[in-house]
Parts: sequence; structure tokens; C-alpha cells
Amino acid sequence: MEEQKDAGTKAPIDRHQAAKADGGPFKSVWHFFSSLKLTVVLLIILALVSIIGTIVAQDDPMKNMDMLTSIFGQSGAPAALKLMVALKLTDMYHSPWFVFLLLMLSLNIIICTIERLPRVIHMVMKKQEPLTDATIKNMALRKEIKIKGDMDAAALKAAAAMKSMGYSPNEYRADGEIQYFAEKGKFSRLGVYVAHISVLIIFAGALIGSFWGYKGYAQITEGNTIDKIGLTGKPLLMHVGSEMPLPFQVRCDKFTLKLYQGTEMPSAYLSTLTIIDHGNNVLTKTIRVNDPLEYKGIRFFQSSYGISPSEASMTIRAIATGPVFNVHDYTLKRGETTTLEGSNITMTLSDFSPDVAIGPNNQVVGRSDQFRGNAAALLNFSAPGGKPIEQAMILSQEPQSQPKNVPFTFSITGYNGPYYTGLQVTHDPGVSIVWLGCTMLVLGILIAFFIFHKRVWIRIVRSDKGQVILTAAGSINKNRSVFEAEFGRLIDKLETRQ
Amino acid sequence: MNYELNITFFKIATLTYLFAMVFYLGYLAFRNQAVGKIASGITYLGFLCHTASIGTRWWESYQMGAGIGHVPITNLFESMSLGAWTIVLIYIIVEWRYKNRTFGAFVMPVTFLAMTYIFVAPDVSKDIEPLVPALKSYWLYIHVLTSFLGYAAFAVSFGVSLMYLIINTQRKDSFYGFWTACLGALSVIVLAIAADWATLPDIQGKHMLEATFRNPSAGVQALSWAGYAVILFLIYMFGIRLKSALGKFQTSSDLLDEVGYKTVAMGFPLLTVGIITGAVWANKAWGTYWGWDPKETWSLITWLVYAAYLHARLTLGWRGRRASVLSVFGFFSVIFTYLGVNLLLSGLHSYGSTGGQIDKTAIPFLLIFAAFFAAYVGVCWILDAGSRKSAGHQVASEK
Repeated sequence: MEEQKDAGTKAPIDRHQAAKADGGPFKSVWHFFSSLKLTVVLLIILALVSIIGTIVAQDDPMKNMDMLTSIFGQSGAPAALKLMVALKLTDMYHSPWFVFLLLMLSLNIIICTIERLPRVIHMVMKKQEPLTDATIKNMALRKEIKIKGDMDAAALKAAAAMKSMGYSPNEYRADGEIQYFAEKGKFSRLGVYVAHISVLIIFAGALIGSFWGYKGYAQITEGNTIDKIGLTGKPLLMHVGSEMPLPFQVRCDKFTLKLYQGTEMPSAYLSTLTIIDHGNNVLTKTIRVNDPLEYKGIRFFQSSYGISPSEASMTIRAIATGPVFNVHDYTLKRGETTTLEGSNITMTLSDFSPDVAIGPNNQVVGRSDQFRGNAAALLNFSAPGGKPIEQAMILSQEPQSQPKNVPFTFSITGYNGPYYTGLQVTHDPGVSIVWLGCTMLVLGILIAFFIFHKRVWIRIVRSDKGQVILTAAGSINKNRSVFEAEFGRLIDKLETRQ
Repeated sequence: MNYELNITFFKIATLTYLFAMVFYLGYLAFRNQAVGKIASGITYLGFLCHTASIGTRWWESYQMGAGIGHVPITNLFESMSLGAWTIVLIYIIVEWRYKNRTFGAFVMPVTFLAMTYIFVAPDVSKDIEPLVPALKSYWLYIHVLTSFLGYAAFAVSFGVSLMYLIINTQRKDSFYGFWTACLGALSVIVLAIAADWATLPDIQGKHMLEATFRNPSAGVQALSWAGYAVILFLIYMFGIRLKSALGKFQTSSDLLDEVGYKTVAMGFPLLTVGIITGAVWANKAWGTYWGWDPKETWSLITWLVYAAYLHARLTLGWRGRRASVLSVFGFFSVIFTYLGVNLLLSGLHSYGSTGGQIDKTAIPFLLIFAAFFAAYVGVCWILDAGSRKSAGHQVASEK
């Protein structure tokens, strides 16, 4: 059954090769797409071109510029980037040429299926026939056993043996002949078509998603409500601009950041969201990563968090270095002023950032909105009457940087404010179709690989010499070695029960 | 308290696999049944220790308290340990099912290499780490487990296919060049990792292959490439001896061919389920089932290569050497999907990796892979076209 070594060098001819010569252009296009070689070539081309998109950044032009600069140098990089963009390599998987390849593959699958499926359905629908004297001789797996006793006893044995192997035999009686035959797993021949059609279903689901679905982002401060989102992906059929109104409102009741006990590592991000539809609170759910909220086909995913910069406040600790020792914490919002306890100096928190980096020229650059020990505060000090004394930058990382003319040392001890939760918002009407396709794909592959169409026949005849001769025969559509063992067990049963 | 019992078991298992590898090679060289049985016995022992390592690591993660406990498959060390474990498991099944020990000499080095790599590689943390919120999902376990079972099946197919190629090539064949190059590359990687381990006093914060190919000194780099060339040349010169050693075994080529195919037939549905469960999970975590993230894309590339293998084999009749070469390419793609993406590319799957920017060393590697693969398929295509003109027969798909 399986050829040894390089059968490929004497590869099978495409069945349609011969027919290619005659027929019009439609026929030749049809033949082109009905070729299984095209399938292999397309699969390999798709694999090869897909590599490009894993090297060229798909979302980040700066990254590509960096990479090209290091390869082609400062002078060559812009031209190379231009070429990259012209070939659509920076958004490769949505480029016309990649879509074209997928379209070719789809056509290939469709035409191959149309070419072959009717024949297979016919084969599956066809009833198993008893074998004749001539056809039984052609069976690859065949065994003759001479039986003592009469035909009916042999028939009983044969039927019992088949039943014990899990077959339900059909009986056929003719003049001087009894035959039992049965088959298993004939529908497995359809598995390969289920697998191939499922690929088309997945494509269809993906198309529906990209035409009628959308992706967006929303930031909601605790206690606030939103009724629109900013779009991040471009939906193909919905020209709604960069913002899209939601058909309902979403309120963030609370955001919680849970840490692993005794560490700084986050263990969970939790947002309690309430959906308000026509003024009614219809749904409240605490979402976390991996557990989104869904309402009217729109889903909200936990994506990021932070303290709302506009409403944040910072706590500054002032320790008097003067004659009277005292410690005071002042919590201020941006631009707020207070009088330092034990003096008549006023302090204004002009600006602050919870997380900064110090640049090469000593400039302070805001880095993120997470408070983790790199905060900075810009303080302005004034004498009574508003006469400025000095301005000072307080940095968590550099405690020695302090004002010179104020008898206090300052440090940053807190950063507070209402949290905002960052939500990924998606709507994808194609997703259930994709899952349907995926399920079919797995089932189809499993059926195609691991279920076989097995057929067995046992024919009992009386020979010229009056002996009862039992002939067992079997066939399988693939994996013959496994079937040979099963067939051997059947023969054993027929022989040992004598 | 230290939670390092799992590491102790891991070390013992690695060492045991090394011995198993030596005995399997000895079995190959001397064809002594007793040596073969010892090799199998050592493998079972190593597998037990390895199982104990994974089990104790699981247990120890719960001992750490603070809700840290989880199934140990969440960072590079844990997943690769599981991968090696699965390879050994599948190998043991194949050995038992086909009553043949010759594959051991090919599978055990891969396992030993994987185990040593994660143990010594500077980029890989061996600590039990709390899960980041994105990883807290049941889909993680299904996704990782199915993907790994698939990878392991492909690894066995790779070992068997390489063996098929070695047995069934003459020196003048282009296939001879192919398998000696593959074996040469593998040997060089083993040596380079060993060099990292031996020469870098403090490997924390260093990159893989920093002692050789990525050495700051250009001289050492040049020397490394020269060494690579020498090793390739030596294997090319003396590879024929390996062939004759294996040939003495009279392992049936048909059996190798069949095992090479059947393991792909096992791996392919598993990889498919792995990709799909990954998509389901991504849909739950980010709301997008497919985002063309490098890891996703590479898993798709691997899937496409094996899909091409299956179509070529089942419908175009590519068997034997042709199929074996495709299986080898497929496994390179598996390695890149699993390791290369984490170490060299950036994306969502960068947990526990060096992360960040694309490493430019990846580019020539990928270009070489793509060029060889394209050239190989192209040559086969031309050969097929040629034979179609000369031959005039048809091979039925079912006989």
C-alpha cells in the first residue's frame, strides 16, 4: 500500500492533467484550482510570507525605522521604509496580496471539494454488496478456511465471530452460498471534507468580524459613566470616525488592584462595572483579566488602570529642621497651596508626576502613571504677602535635592486619587461562526486520521468435493497495518471455534 | 525556606537522561540487547525523577502560600521541562508499541539538550513565580498542554525522520548534505551552550551564546564561525560512518517512515487544538481571537508546514526522504515558534523572556530557513514536473 522511499520522484499525475488539453479558458482555470499540488504550494507560500510579518513590526513604525537604520544606515533607512510601506509589509496580514493568497486557497478548497465530494458521498451512500466468486479473489486481505460440519453451523460461527468483533453483519443467501458482510466507519470518509469546509467557515467568520465588528478603548474613572468609546481598529463597513457612541452607558463603580501578599506583584485587577440602559441599572459585574462583561454583544475587557491624572493628589511630608521638631503630611492636588505648619511660609504644589525618569541632561520626564518609588514634585515656596522664596524639585530617588532657604526637608509619601480603569471594548458578530469552524476542523481532522472505513465479508460455500469452505475478506481505506491485526483476530476466532 | 526539591529532582533527571543517551548510543554501536535494556531502564528512572520534579514543583508552589500555587507550566523553565517530559513520555510509548530501541539514540539527545539548556541558560529563571493576572485562566492549562503534546509528537517525528534520512542516503545525494548540516547545527548549538556554561563566570544578565557567536569580541565571533565550519566539515566527512553504524541495525526504513508519519498525524490535531484553545483564551482575555502576534503567526506557520507535509504525503505521494525532510523543516519551525519567538521576537507571549525589541540575529536565521525551505520545495516541484513528462502512470490514492 505505501510505497517505499521516494515515491515522489515518480509522483502521481494529476487526474485532470489529461483533460487539461481540451476545454476553454474556464476549464483551464478550473483545472488549475482543482490541483492538489496547488494546495501544497499555497500552504508553503503562505507559511513563508507569514514570516515577514513577524520580523517587520505591524504596529510600530519607530521600531521598523530603528531596525532599518541598523541594517542600511541613516541614509538608506527612509527609502527602505518607503519600500516596506509600499509593499504593505507594515500591515501585511490585511494587505491585498495576502488576502489574494487566502482567496486562492479558498478557491482551491472549494473547487477540490466540488470535484471530489460527490463521488465520496456516492460511495458513502452505496450499500455494501456481497462479494462474488470473481470479486473476492481481488481482495487484498483474504483467508480460506476449510470447515468440518454443515453450512449452517459454519454460518452461525461466522456471524458470531463478526458480532464479537463489533460488526453487525448482513446476511445474504443464494444457491449453495451463505454470506455475511458488514462495514464500520464509512462516514469517516467525509471527515476530510468536514475539515476542509471548516477552514472556509473560519474565513467566513473572520470576514464577518472585520466587516461588522469593531474594537475600541475606554477609560472610566471610579464613579464616572461613559456613553461612547474611542475606536482603535478600523471597521470596514462602519464609518463612524474615531469615536463611537454606545447604545447604553457604562459606569465604573470601583477599581481594585490586588497584590500577592507581601510582594509588589499584582495578583488581580478588578473593575466593578454597571450597565445603565435607558436609565436603569441592568447589570453589574466585577470583571477581571480573563473574565469580561458582555452586554448586547459588546464586551468589556480589563486592560489597564491608573490614577486619573486630573484628579490625583500627592502627599508631601515636611520635617522641620528648625528649632522645633515637627512632622506634617500635606495632601494637595495640582496647583493647591497650603501654609507649612510651624512657619508662615506657603507651599504650592505646582506640578507632580508619580513616575519619572531623569534624562541625560538632567531633565525630568514623566514615564507612567504608576506610583512606584520614582515620583517627582515641583514645589513653590513664598513668604507672607506672596513674595516668592524659591522653587524646588523633590525626587523620591534623590532625597538630597531639597530647597535651600526653607527650614524643612521634604519627601513624597503618597499618590492618591480615584482610579480609572482602562477597558478594551469589542464587538465581533463573527466569533461564534469562527468557533463553529474550529470545532468542525478538529472533529474533521480526528475523523480523517483516526476513524477508518473497514469492510469485512465471510462467504461460505460448499466445494465440489462436498467440503464447506469459508472465505473471509476485508478492506480498509487507510492504515492497513492496524486492520491486518484486526483481521487476524477475526481469522483466529473462526479457526479456534471449530 | 527554600523550595528547591523540584530542582534537585530536575538535576537528577537531567543526569539520568545523559546516561540513557550514552547507553542508547552504546546500544546503537554494539547492538547488545542487555545494553538496550539498561538504556530503557535508565530512561524509565529518569522519567520518574522528572515526573517527581514537576510534581514537587507543583506542590512547592502551594507551600509558598499567598495564592501563588499553580500548575507548573507558566514560565520558560516550567514549560520546557514539561515539553521534555512529554517527549520522553511519547518516546516510551513508541518504544513499547514498536518494540524498537534505536530511536532512543536520537530522542534522548534532544531531551537532554532541552533540559540542559533550561538549566544553564542565563535568560531562563528557575524560580517559582506568582502568576500575572493574564495567565490566570483554565484555558492556560488546556492550551499549554495540547500545544506541548503536539510539539513532543513533532519532536519524535523529527528524530525518526532524521534517522530515516541518515539510513537512506548515499554520500553523493543532496539529502546527505541536508542531514549532515542539520546534525552539524545541532552539535554546534550544544557546544555553544556548553561554552556559555563553562566560560561565563556569572551568567545572570548575559545572553545565550554570549561566549561564542554573540561574544563582544569580533575575534571570538569569527573563531566561533570558523569552528562551526570545521564541525560541519567533520560531520560531512565522517557522517557516512554513522550511516553504516545505523545500517547494521537493520531497522526497517518502512517502520521509520510510518512512525515519522504517524507522529505527525498525532501532533497535527494536537497543534490544531493548541492554536484554537489559544484563540479562545485570547478572546477571553483581550477580546480578539487572532491578532497576528508573532507567537500566533509562528504557530500558524508551523501548522501550515505540517499541513503541507500531510497533503504532500497523502495526496502527492511524497514519502520516505521527501516527507522526512519536510518533517525536519516542520520541527525547526516548532523550535522557532516555541523558543525563537520568546527569545528573539517581541509580542504578547513574552512572559519570562528577555522581551523588548526584535533581536537582529533572528533575521539571517529566518532568511536562511525560508530560503532553504523554498529551494527544497522548488527542487521537488521541478523533479515532479520532470518525472511527469517521462512517466505516464498514476498512483491510486487507495489500493
